[in-house]
Amino acid sequence: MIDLAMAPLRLVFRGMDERTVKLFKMFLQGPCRKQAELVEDGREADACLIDMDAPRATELLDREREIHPDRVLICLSLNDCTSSPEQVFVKKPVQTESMLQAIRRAREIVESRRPREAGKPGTEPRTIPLRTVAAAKKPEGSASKVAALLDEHSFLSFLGVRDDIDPANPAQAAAVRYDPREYLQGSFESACALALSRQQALRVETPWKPLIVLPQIRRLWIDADEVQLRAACAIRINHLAHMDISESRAQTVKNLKVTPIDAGEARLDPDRLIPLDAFLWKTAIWTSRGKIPADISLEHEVVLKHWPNLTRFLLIPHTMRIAALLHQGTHTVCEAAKILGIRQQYVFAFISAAHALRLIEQRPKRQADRVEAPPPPKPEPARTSFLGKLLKHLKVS
Amino acid sequence: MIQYNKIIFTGPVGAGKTTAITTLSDVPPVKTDELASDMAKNRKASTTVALDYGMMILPGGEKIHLYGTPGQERFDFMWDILTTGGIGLVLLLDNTRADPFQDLRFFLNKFGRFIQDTSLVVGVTQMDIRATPVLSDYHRQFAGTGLNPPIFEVDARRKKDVSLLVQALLYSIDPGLEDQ
Repeated sequence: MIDLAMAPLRLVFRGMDERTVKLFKMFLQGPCRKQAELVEDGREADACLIDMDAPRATELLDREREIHPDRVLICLSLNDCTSSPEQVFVKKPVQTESMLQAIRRAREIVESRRPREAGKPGTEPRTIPLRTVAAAKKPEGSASKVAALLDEHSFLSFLGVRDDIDPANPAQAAAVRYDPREYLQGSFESACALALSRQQALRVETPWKPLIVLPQIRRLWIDADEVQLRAACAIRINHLAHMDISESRAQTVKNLKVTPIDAGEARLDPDRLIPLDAFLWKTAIWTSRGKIPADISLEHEVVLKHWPNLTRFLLIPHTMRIAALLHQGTHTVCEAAKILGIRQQYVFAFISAAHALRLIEQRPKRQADRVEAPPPPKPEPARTSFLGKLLKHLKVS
Repeated sequence: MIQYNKIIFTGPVGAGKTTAITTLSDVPPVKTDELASDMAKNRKASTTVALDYGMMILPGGEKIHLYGTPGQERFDFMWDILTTGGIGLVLLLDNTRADPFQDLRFFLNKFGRFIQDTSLVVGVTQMDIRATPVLSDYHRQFAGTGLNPPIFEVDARRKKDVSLLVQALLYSIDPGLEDQ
C-alpha cells in the first residue's frame, strides 16, 4: 500500500501576491516533495498559510480566525508572532527543513482533531484532494450535486495499490472480496431500499449516525462531511444486523432502529440533502477500496444494465471506459480489466458502486464452443486517432 | 469522402442546445436566435430559427463542428442536411416540459436513421427545477427500442456536464478509446 501520509496537506494562502504564490507552489512541489499544496478554494483547505509581514496581515488573520476558528495556521514571518500552540511558525527566509517541519506539525494538529468515531487510530485515510471538476455557483455542502473526479494518483493514495489477481487462484480471489453488509454500506443500502419500497420518509439509526431517507425526493440527510463519511465507510462493523426489507412490518431489527417520520416536519437544510444514488455510489467506492462485493462472481460475466448518472457521481479512473465496455457486452470483471488494459481494482470499485445501485446483472460465462456474435466493428485507426484527440481536448479543457 | 467531424445537438425549445454549444465552443458561437413565435414563445423570449454553430479546435488544428438544430418543428427539414458526417447525436431534453417523453419519442423518430448509424447520448436539463420524471423513468422509455444510451442529468451552463456527455458519446462508439 502507498503511504497515505504522502497525501499533500492542502493550504489556502493569505497575504501573498501572485508571484509569491507561484514561487511557493514551486517550492512545495520541488524541495518540499509535495508534502503540501496550495489550493485556491478555502473550503477545501486543511490549513492556512499566511504571510504575517504582509500589509493588512493582522486584519487577514482576524478574518481567517473569524471564518475558520478551528483551522490550523502556518505563519510566515521574520519574528515569531504566534499566540497559540496550534499556530505553527516558520521563520523567514523560509528554509526547506523548517517548512517541512511546519507541514508535519500542522498535519499532526489536523489529524488530532479528526472525530474519533471516524476511523481506527493510525489506519484512517488521510485527507486527499478531490478535484471537483465542475464549477458551482454556490457552496454545495455535503451534497454530491456535481461530478467529482478521483484521479489516478488520488485513487491510489486513498484506496491503495492492489496487485491484479488470477481469478483461478482461490486465495487471491478471496483476498479481493468484501461483504458490504459488514460495513456501513450495507446499512445505507438497506435503509434506502426500505424507504423506497415503502415510499415513506424514515429515520434509520445506523451503527454510526442516523440517516434520514426521503424517498419521495430521492434524497437523504446525514450529519457528516465527506471526510468523516469516507473514513467511516472503511471501518468494518462486526455483527451488524440488517433489516429484512421483505418484511413490511419490520420496525426494529436488532441494532438498526427504523422510525417513520413526517418529512415536512424534519426541517432539514435543503442544501445538505444528498441524492440517494450519488450517496450509495460513493459510499460503495469508499467501502470497496478496490475490492469486489462477495456476491459478484469472478467466473460469471457481468453486464451494466444502463449507464449511471455520471455527471453527478464520484468518478474513479476509467469510469467511462468501464461503463461503456460493460454496457456494450458481457465480460468477466477480470476480462474487462484486461481488455481495457487497466488495473483490476478500478473495475472492482466500479462494479461495487454500480452493484450498489443494482445496475449489474450477472450471467453464466458463455461456453467456448458457443457461436458468438461478431464483435461490433472497430472504427478505422485514423478515426480512432481523431476521436482520441477530441477526447483529450474535452478532458483538458 | 465524408468527414466525420460534426456533433449534432438537438432537442425541444429551451432544452439548452444553444447554451451547451456555447459552453463547449472554442470560438464565439454563431447564433441565429430570433424572437420566438408560435409554440416556442411560451417557453423563452428568443429561440434558434436557423441553427447554432460552434467549433472545437484540436491540437494540430483539426476542427470539430458543433451544430444545434432549431428547436421548432417547422424547421425540421434542415435536420437531414445537418447530420451528414456527424459523429453522433446529443439529445437534450427539458424536464420541465409538459411531456418530455413525447419530446423523446419525437426526436428518436426524426433522427432514427442517424442514431442507428452513429451513436446517441441524452442529457436531461432543468432537473433542479423539476425532479420528476427521474432518469430511471427515461431509461424505461427506451425499452423495446433497441437503444439504451447514456442518460445524464445536465446543466448546459456547466462545461464539465456537457463535456462528460460528449465523452460518453465517444466511449459509446469505442470503449477502448484512449486520449491521443
